[in-house]
Amino acid sequence: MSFVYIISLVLSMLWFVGIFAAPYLTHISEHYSFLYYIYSFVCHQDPARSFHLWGYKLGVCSRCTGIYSGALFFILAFPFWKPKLNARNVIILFVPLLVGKLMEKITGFSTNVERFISGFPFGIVVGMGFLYGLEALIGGLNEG
Amino acid sequence: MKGDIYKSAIFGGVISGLLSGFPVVNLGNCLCCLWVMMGGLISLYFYQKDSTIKLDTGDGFAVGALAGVIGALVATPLDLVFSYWTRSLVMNFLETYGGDLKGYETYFTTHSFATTLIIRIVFFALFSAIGGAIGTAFFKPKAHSNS
Repeated sequence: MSFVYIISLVLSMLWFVGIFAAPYLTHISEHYSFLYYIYSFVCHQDPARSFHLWGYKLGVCSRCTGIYSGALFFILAFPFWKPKLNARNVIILFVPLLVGKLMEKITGFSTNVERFISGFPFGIVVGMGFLYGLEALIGGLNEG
Repeated sequence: MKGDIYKSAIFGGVISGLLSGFPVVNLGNCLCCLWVMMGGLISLYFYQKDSTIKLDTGDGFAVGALAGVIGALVATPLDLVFSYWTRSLVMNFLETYGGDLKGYETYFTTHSFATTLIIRIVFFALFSAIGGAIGTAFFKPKAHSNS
C-alpha cells in the first residue's frame, strides 16, 4: 500500500462517513449540523430525493450517495481490481446516470433506490479520476 | 512539449466559475459538481490542444485543480451578489412551500464570505481535478502540431 493510496482511502472514507454523520449528529445534538452546510456545496439535498436515517435526511441526495458509494467502492476494490481510465469505460459507466436522468424526465417518476443505482457506476469513474490523477501527480502507487 | 497550463486553467476556470455563479444555471452543480468537473475537462482540452505530447492523468489532475481554484474565485463573489439580491424572494418561497429555511438563514447569518470561499476553493479544486483527470481519457494531441 502506497502513501497516495492510503491518503485517497482515508479521504474518501471520511467523505462517505460524513454523509451518514450529518443526520446522526443532528439527531443527537438537536442542532443544525454543520455537515449539511459542507455538503450543500456539492448537492441540492432535497429531502424528497434523499434517504433518511434517525429521522433526518443524509448529507447528500440518493443519487449523490450512489456516486460517492461507487467512488469508495472503487478505492476499496483497487488493490484487487484496476480498470483503465479510458473513454470506453467512462462512457459505459456514465450511461446508467444518463439513462436514470432521462427516464426520470420522461416518466416523471423515480425512487431513491433507482437514483442510487444510477449514480453508483459513475462514482467508479469519479474514484478512478481521483485515485489515478493523484497517483500520477504525486506518484508512488504500486501498480503491481 | 506541453502547452501553457495557466492559460488553459484560466479558460476552464472562468467558464466553470461563471456557470457556477449565476442563479438557476448553477443548479447543474447539484449533480456531482457538473460545471466544476466540466471546467476541469475544458481546461484539459485547451491544455492538450496546445501540447504536442499526450498528457497523462497527473497533468489533467493538475490543470483541473488550478482551474477549480480560479473557478471558485470567480463563482463565489458572483454567487454572493446574486444571493443577496434574491434573498427575500427565496425566504418567502421557502416559508410558503416549507423548504429548508433554517439552513438558508444559516448561510447568511453565521458563515462569512471567507468561509464560503475557502470551502469552495477546496471542493472546486478537488472536483475540477477529477474532471481534468477523466478528460485525459478523451483528448489526444494533434498529429502534426507545430506548437
